Amino acid sequence: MSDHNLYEAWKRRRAEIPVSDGFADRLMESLYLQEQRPVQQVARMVSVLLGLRAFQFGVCSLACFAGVLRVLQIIIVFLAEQSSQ
Amino acid sequence: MDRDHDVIRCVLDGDVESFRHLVRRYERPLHRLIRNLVPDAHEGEDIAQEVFLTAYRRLSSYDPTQAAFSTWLFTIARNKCLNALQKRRPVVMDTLPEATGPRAPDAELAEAEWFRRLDEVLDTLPFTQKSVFVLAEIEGLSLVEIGRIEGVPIGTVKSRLCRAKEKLRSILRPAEQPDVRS
Repeated sequence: MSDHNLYEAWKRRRAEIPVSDGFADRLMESLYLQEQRPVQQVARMVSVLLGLRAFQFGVCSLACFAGVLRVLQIIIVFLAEQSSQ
Repeated sequence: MDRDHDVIRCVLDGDVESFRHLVRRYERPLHRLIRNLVPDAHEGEDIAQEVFLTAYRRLSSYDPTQAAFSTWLFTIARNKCLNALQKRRPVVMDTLPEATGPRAPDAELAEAEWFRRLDEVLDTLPFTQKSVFVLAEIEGLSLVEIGRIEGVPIGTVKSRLCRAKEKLRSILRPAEQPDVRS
């Protein structure tokens, strides 16, 4: 057998990795168990919520609105002081 | 449900059972990658399970416009394997086993001996080279995909792959006529 064939045969052997029987079933079982935990459910909800573009947009808009409101408050206080002088 | 994207949408909409489609589709390539990076079968199985559970938890953060689902999954797997190996073996061996040695009398045994030596060389490669080699030569991924998984430019992928192949071939080169070559 040539170097190349030997090398290719070795790679084929390395690629033949069997998956243990019932791997998917065991995994889904742990996944369902995980899903039943209340902490996980909350974490998942938060994760889904954070992933939503609409939610991200809403939070950013709210933050911008709060920022603008705060700046306006400061300006009003400043103007009120100016006018009283 | 043929496309990963449709399955992912179903899972994100609350259909947990749809995730089984993704597990069935990727369990084989994922096991192949993990077992080639982490030789221990039990540890490999645990990592494979951990990878799928992590993928499930972070599914909402997966962006199909950035990479294929398989690339995203392989990235998680690659990082989990690296963490597992760092915990177990902090120092990476960089020395190659002897290239020459006693040869088996018949072809089959000699072939097995060569395979064992190649396995040894693969295990002694630094993780970054080993990972690139497995992704390219065993999984058959493109250099672009490997670059995304490894988080490095294509040039770096090429040089790591080249170094890994060079080390593996060096084991075949010194003995020109083992018993299996006729």
